[in-house]
Amino acid sequence: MSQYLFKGRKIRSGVLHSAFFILHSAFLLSSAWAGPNLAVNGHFDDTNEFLHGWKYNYEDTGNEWLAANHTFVCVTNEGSKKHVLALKADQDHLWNQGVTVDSDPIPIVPGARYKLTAIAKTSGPDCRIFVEGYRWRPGIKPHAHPKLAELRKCYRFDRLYFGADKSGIMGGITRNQGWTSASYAFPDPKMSKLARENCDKIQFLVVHLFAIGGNTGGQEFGVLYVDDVILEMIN
Amino acid sequence: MSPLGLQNELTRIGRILNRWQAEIRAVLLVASAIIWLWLLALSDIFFRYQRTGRLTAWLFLLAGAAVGLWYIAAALRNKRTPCGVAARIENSFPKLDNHLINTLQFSQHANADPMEQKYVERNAPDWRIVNIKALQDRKARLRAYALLFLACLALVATGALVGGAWNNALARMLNPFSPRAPITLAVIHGVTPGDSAVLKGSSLALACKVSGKKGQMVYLDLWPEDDKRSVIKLGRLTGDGEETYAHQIPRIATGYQYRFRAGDAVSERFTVQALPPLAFSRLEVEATPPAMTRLGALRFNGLTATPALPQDSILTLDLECNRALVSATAVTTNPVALESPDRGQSWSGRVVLASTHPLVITARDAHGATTETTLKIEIIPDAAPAIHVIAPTTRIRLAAGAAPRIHWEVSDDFGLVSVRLETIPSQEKSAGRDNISGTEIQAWSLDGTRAFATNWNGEGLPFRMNEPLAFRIVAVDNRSGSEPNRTISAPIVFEWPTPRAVAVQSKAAADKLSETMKGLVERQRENLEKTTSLETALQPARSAAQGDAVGTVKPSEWRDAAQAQQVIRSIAGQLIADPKKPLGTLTAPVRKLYLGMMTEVIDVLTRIPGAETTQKLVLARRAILLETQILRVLTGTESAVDTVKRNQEITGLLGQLDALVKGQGSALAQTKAGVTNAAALNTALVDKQDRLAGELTEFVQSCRKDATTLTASEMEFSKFLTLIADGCESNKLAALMLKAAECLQNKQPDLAIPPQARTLTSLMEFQKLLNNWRIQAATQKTADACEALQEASKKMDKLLELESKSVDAIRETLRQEDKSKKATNDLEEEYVELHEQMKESLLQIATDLQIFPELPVGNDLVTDVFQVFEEVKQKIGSDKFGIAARKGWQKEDFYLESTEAMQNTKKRLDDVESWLRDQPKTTKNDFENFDQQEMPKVPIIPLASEMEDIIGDLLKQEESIAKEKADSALNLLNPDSEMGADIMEGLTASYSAKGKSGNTTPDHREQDGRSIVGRKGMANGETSAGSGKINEGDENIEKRMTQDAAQSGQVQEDGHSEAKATGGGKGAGYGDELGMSGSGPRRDSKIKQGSEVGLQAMLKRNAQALYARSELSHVRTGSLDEAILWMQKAEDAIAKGYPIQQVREFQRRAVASLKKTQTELGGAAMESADSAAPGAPPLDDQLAGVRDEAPAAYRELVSEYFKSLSAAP
Repeated sequence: MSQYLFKGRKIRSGVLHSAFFILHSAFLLSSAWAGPNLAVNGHFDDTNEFLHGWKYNYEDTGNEWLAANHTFVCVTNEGSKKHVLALKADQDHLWNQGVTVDSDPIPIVPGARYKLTAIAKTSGPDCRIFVEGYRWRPGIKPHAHPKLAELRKCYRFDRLYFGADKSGIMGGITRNQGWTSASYAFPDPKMSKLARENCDKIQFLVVHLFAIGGNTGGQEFGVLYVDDVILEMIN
Repeated sequence: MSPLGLQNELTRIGRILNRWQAEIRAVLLVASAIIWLWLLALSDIFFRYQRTGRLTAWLFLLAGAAVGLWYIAAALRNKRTPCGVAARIENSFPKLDNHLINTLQFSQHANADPMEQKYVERNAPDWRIVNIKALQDRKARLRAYALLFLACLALVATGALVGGAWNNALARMLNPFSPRAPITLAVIHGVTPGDSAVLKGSSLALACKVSGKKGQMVYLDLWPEDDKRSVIKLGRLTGDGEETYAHQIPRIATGYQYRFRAGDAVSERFTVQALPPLAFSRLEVEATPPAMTRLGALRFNGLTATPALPQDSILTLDLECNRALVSATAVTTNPVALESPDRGQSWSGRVVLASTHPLVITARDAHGATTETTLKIEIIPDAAPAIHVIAPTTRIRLAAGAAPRIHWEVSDDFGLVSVRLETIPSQEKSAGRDNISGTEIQAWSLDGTRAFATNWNGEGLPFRMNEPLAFRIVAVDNRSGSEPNRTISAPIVFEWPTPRAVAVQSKAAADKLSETMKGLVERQRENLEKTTSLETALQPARSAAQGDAVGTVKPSEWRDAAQAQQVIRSIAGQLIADPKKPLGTLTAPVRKLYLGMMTEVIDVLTRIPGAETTQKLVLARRAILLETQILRVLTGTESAVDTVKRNQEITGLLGQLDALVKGQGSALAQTKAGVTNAAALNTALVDKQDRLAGELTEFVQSCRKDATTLTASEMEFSKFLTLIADGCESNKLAALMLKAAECLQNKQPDLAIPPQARTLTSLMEFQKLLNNWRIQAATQKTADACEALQEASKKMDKLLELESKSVDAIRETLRQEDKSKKATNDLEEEYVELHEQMKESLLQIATDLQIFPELPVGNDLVTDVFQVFEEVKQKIGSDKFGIAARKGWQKEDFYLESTEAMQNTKKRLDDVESWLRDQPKTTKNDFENFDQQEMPKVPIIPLASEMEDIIGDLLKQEESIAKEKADSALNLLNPDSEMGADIMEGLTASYSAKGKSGNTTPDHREQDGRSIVGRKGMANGETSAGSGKINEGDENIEKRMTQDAAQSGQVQEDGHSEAKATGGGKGAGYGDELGMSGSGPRRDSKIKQGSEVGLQAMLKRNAQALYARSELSHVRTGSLDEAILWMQKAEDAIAKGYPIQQVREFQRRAVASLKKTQTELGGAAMESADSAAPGAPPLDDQLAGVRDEAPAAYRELVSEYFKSLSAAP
């Protein structure tokens, strides 16, 4: 049996192994408690298809504003972080249509609460990152793999606020913050009657990543980096 | 011996051998049987076989005997061949050396050789040595007999040894069917109940009678069907003769087997069968109602259904029980036996529901168990017809010559056959009895009609006015099978008193009323003084000054006050319930007093003695307040009694004149008819004419009298009366009438016509004169009343203004710390400034109205509008943000250019993402608007196939700040534009229909264009959503019509919001309020035509207006005031949400009052002649509520009461 020297005392390797096992189990338990990430490829590290599980091409909508959206979206390495989503926009885009990425629809569990977490970093653009509620578009026969085009939006939850001000219409991220994490839980149990009526209609959740507002940071293009998008059911 | 002889001899020997064999077998069989019997008898002594064991053993014995006998028979039947017998003989006699067999065999050869022939010819040498007896098996025979002997010996020896028990055992085993019991030390003499059947759930006693030697135990063995055996110890034998031991099973749940054991005695095993209770498993009933009911046959389940069946229905019963029955009966008044083809489980029969007694069905089974059920049917008895005389309800006085009129309703539950109107002697007072015969006036044959109503008019009916005329109504229903039901109404009596008698009575009544009112006021005043003094005694300061303890007023004093108040209420109740209506129009306030304050004050006074000390004072003050108000109303009523009396006199005079005109007109018509038809000239007509003359004389006297009395109050009317009296006398109308009567008596109708016609003409002139006065007087009074009301209204407005100013001033004073004169000055300045602002605003509205051009209408609707709710956290403090910037916008030309450029555009512009704001706007925009002439035609861009609406919870903003930020009206517009980012009130109007509901209220300004339904606001544009909900928005909206009041299309409103109409002329909105009249077509509410309470209120208002007009014009009103009262109650009941049955009852009473009024006003004046003291007003007990809310249970009870009233025919 091998032995290790720890602060002048000999410790049997079995003890170390046990401690590691306990810690590892605790980690796994905490992971299990929080629930799995419902957002497919939320870390953008699917090496087969970096944007697997995300919609970034909106040519099918016929909206001229969004026709070239996909040309401003990519997965890249930013500093030490590998595989992060980059939303690139010039000033014109930031003032008008912005750059958008939506997750694939995630079926909702009625009555459940969810938590959205993401980290972001910007060279100038602001953001609006939040979860939207969708339901089946009239006339579409429900099936197992809905596309965004087959759904109709019915709800917008609150936004992720990366700045000190936890209100407003923008995420409030600034270029000096570096990588910043933000999260919020929803739905709000104290919502109004009107909100409740609309919230009850939701059948799917979609994580909406939107680079809008802000500036390009003095460059031709400003970039909003997003990573580790985690949507989990908390209870 | 020849071969043939040898064969015969061998055959004979073979039979001998068989017999010997059979003998041995028989001996062995007998021995075996004896041994078996011995064994059984011996074992029975020890085991005491039951019947089954004995039978089994006996069967074995029998079977063994049968087998033995068969075996013996087999021995006898055994066929031995000669060779066999020969071989047996050769074996027993070896000396024969096979010669016998050889000889026998050789003799059988057909072609025997010579040696064989020779051998045969020797003829069985040595035969003589054969001794047959030697062939017998003596040893076996001896053994068999020895065995038999031993068996017999054992049987006898055992019997000798055991004694009588052995014989008993033998007898028991030989005859297993005998009841012979084994010999025991104890004897069980009997067991009850033996084999039996018992109902489940009942108790069962098992008993046995035992005798035997002392000390032996008695047991009961029980074998429940659903459990293992149990043994119950019952006791120990005492040896004193026969004893009884019993065991009680308290509740039989299952079947049992049981037996008793006493010492060595064991009873048989008995069975108790547990029977389930006898019950009906099926009871089908087919009810055939009587033909008169016109109802079809009804099949129902008699065990569960609860139908309502008419009396005399035939019921066909078909029942089945859970086991076979021996009898079944159905009992109503007499038992009816039901029948069964096989006396099994199913029985059937037929019963007639001749009475209202419940129908009970009883069944009995073979075990004596019975069951019964009562059919849960509601037997609808064929009730007697109900007669409701609507009018008159009391003894009635009619004017001279006036024909009686009766309005009644008859109803029956199943149908009426006939209704008759009869006259009876007026002294007859029996109601509903048929002890006297009436004279039929008219009969109505009804073919089973359930309700019949008529307003009978006695025009043409000959009657004598010098004595009362009594009628009764007789209704007969269509009950079949027995005597039809017959209902007779109470007598309805009419009388024609002389005017003098009427005048005397009226005077007496008027005097009595004055006296009563005076007494009432006096009583109330005294009681108020008393209550005040009692309240004073309760005051702490006064009590202390007088050295009394607080609240030492005796309870009896309060009770006396309450009692006095009760007397006052009772007198008031009699006044308002008097059918003669002495109070006239003053009835309503007194009734209100009676139902309200008079009731409450009694309650308050009654509660004072039991209240707490502090509460006593409060209640006492309340009582004083109420009594003061009562006194005020009563005093006012007393002072107005003279006016009422005067009005009644005027109305009476006018009524007299009306009756004279009508009577004379009727007499003239009859006379004219008599010219050609002599039969029309009867005594009644003569009497009528004669009576009219008398009436006229009385009328003239009344006119002269009233002209004198009314000079002071009604001078003009007084002059008219004098004029009419003079006219009657100068024209000698009375003489003319008498002359006409004389001619009629002499059968000269043609001579009677001229004086009649002349009289009628004069009377009609007088009537016209008075009618003119009526109208003028009524108009004048109405004008006076209006003026008074207006004055009152102005005063109220002034008071309101003063009150408002006072409140404002008080608030302002409280708010400002500096109380110097400067504040007041500031306030005044502020007020002046505010006034100027209002003027500006009013001018601005007028200016704004000029800028809106005639805008295009798309008339398109998008039905697929979907809503997205967005959560927004309002920026903290933003609700108080003031104006950050004030911007002015010029009427830029690009608006016009872009509008013109888009004339031919067919495609909508795409939009980018938009979202709700997190704070209200902080700018105020002022616009320079285009002149209407400058504006080009606005193109209508096609709508999208679907539209998205974004909505959120309204942002908070202080109302004053919101008003400050309100933009001015504008007509800068875009046919379409790219939408995105913040959702807010736009700077320009848009026809793109891209508007969102958003999270802010729309600006309070006119805004045209197109949009979805959205929030409540001042827009006068066009909606493009085919459906939607009007959400919360601007509450401060002036009603305004769009210029195009009737755009096509129908918007499906999601829910209903009470929004004011400001535009959007789609055929969708509706409301209960009256709107502005427009040029569009009328569109009624799709939900309902106004509210029920509104309709009821409208009816009441109409009735009140009619009543007021009639009273002002001195026109009789009959029972219209009662109808108004019930309408008011119905309205209150609807408004308070009372049960619909209660509302219906009030409405029903209102209708009845209206019908009564119709009858009362339909003919000549009908006046109640009842002199009996009136009782309490109708529904007094039910509605005499107090201030405190009644408990819910009580209200439910009242509701139920009203339900039952409503259910009554």
